[in-house]
Amino acid sequence: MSTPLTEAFAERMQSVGGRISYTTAEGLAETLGGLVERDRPVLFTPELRDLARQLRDVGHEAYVGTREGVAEQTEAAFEGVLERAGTGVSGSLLGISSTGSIAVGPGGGNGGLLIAFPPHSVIILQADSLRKNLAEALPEVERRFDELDGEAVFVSGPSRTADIEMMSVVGVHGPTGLDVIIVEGKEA
Amino acid sequence: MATTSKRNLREEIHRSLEDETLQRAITSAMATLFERRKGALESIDFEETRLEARRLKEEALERNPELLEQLVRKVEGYGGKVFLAKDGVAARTYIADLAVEKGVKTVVKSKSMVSEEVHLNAALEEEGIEVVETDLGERIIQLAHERPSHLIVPAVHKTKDQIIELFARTMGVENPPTEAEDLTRLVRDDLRPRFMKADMGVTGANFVVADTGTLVIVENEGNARLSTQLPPIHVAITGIEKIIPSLEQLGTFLELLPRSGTGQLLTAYVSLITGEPSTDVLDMGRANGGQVTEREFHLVLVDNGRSEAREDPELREALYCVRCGACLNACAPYNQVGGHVYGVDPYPGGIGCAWTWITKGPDSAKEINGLCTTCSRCTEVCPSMIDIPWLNTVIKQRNNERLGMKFRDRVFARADLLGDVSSPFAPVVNAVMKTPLAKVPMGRIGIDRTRKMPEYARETFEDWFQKRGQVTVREPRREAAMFVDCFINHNKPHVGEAAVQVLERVGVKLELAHNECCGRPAMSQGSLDKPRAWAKKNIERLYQLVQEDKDILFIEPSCLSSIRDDYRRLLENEGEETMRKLDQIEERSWDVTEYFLHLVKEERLDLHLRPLDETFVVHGHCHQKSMGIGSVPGEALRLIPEADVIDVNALCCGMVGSFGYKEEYSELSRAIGQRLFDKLNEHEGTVVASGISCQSQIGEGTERDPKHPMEILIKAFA
Ligand code: SF4
Ligand code: SF4
Repeated sequence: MSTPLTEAFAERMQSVGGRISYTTAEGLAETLGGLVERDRPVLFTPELRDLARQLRDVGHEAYVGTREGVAEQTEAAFEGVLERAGTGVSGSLLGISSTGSIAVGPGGGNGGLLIAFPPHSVIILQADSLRKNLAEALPEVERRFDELDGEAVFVSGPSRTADIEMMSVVGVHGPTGLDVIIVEGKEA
Repeated sequence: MATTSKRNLREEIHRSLEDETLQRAITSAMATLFERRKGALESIDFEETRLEARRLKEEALERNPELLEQLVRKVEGYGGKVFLAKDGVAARTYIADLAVEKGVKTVVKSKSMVSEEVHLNAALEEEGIEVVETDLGERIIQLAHERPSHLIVPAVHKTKDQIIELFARTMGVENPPTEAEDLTRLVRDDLRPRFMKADMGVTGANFVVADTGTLVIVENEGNARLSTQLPPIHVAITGIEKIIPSLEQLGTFLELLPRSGTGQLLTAYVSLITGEPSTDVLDMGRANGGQVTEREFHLVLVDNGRSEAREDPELREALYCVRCGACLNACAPYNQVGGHVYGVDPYPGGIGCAWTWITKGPDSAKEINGLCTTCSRCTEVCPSMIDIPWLNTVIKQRNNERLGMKFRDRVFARADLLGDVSSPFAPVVNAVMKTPLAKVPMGRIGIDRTRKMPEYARETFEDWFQKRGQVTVREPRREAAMFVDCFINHNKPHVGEAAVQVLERVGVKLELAHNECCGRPAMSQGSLDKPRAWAKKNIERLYQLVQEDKDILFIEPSCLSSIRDDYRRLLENEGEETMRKLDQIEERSWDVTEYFLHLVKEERLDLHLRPLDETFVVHGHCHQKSMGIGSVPGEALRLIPEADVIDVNALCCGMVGSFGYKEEYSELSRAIGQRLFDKLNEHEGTVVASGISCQSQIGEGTERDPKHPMEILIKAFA
């Protein structure tokens, strides 16, 4: 069940080309599995280690990108996988309803790359982390700034440009596709 | 050689106006941006938010030296290197030397106006380094060997067809695709490997946060993300005025910047970056021989005239610019000629003139200064509330002081005198002005000789008012004084007469304000001493009226705007007492139509107006719009039963005082006007315009006879 906050968020996100799926904590792996390409690696930020394992269990080539390389697949170098990756999956700090944005933290150092480099980006958003507007969201990011190593990116839709005759084109340097999976609590 | 360069500008304007492709490209892009911005602003209280933004900018700039120190400590504290570049040479030399020292072969850049300002690319290329602009628009410009023509849409002057042709020629693609989407993909594919092999990424920063040492980069394409994450060395280059105290202020700016710039609620990516990324250097592309294995972060803070401007009470204003480009989209001359005519080194438009003065010196700013008509349209949209027309007035005045003032401009500056001399001899003066003989000297002093000069009435408005003696308004609701402006007084007294009659019908007891010229004609020629003296006198006189509990009414919106907007700056050094008086005067000052409408509403007047089964096509005056009363004429006319009122939405009439009379700009003035004429001519009926110079421009361009709203209203009272 959606709340006004999630609805407004979803509407804004969709209006700029982002796609929205709703799921629960239990259904997350399945929802994600349905969104990613089968035959290309899926890269995860470290806090999504469990999710990566669940995808691997059902036959996906799934990796966790960390400083040291690609965890649990130690032979593979991070960049080699990154270049082949079809999807980067990242967690998030919070969402902003009024602008349709999600704040993403450093993600073990690779978060910034995982949302921008692979052609497809998936960001997982906890419904209860949605805030009304920038004024509510920014102080929270500010409070956690040290823990975030001073890194945060507000993502509002897939990468895009209007540099040719003001025609909106999605997917310039960053991902062509952005999926946001909203994870709702049971009672919600 | 002032004359030669003047001819060049005229020639360049002419070429831009003749260039149909350019015209098509800018017209549609500007309209799109203008509309998108309007839509995006619906979700915030723009006026309140920009007041706050302005306050924050002022505070940040006030504290700039202290914040700069704090920032340096912070960045060095986490291992970053800071370089304070006193000028452009220092900035580009530092970065080029760094690149050479580190063995950098390829630099990827995301959009940075400051890097354009300091001519960074040329410096790197001189060292044999490959520089790759990665913002799509900037890449197009780079491939075309041109300069950006807009602050946020650098290739706005190019059409898709031109881009297809450019890609075919420069990217070695035989049959380039024809859709924007595929063209974009082509650039993505071409740039990906360059990103991967790059050893250095150069970005700008929209804001730099002093107490955390954080860069804030606002972008849509994701190229700034890649430029900061992939190459081992990240160099951020930005102006010292971009420093804000803490993250706390960011919200306000982020509410405004994307909305004003691209009409987005937020851009696709807003990155907060503190120091180098925590990832190890990726090995990707190092195969091309790159040697850098350690991550490094350098922050280059460019002064280049900014500190000096900060100390300059008049130019300081410009430093609040967040480079959103909204002022360009609202500016009629920019809309008509595009950015390149402004010289773009690299800042275009009216704000660009101030920035060119600050960063490149007075001479570079001289030519483009005249392209600002001081119409004030941009002040309506600027999220930092920058008084761009005033900046241009000040620059004109300083150039007059340095280089002397043109005879012609001295003539235009004294609208008050011209009238005084001419009125008694009106028939003679009018006749002479029409003879071919008069046209020759006009041409010689730089006035477009094909322009019709305003005709002088034999009896001035003041004389008419005095002559008619005491008029009794029974049980007056209000007492007010008419501010007498030079053009109504000498050239269009009948407009003043109509206004007086309308206001008396609604119970206003009137007198004349016995004021001096408001000073605008002189100010717009960059002459400030006389207007300052007049302004002081006017303030004393008007304040006296206010003390007597009288309102002050203005027929010409430009005069009202001088008092509301310019006097504060003109009399900045006069002290608090003057400002206090000005506050009270402002509170009691009204545009006549605004006043009429206000009375009708507040007093719930039943006017019993006579129906007029006519169509009125209304052009909004730029200064009415900038004062937030743009809808007033239309609203007032809608009070007339059966009247069909059409508000025409155009940027500007293009005349703006004397701008359209100057030979170097008259073609541009007419071109700006043409857009309005075309819109007006879509409708039959009576054209309504509140400004006297708007009226003469429209009259000439449409061969119709524009009326002031008061002239229409008095008919409905009859
Ligand atoms: S005052 Fe008018 S002409 Fe000058 S920059 Fe602003 S919009 Fe353009
Ligand atoms: S002057 Fe104002 S409107 Fe123009 S670019 Fe700067 S901030 Fe934006």
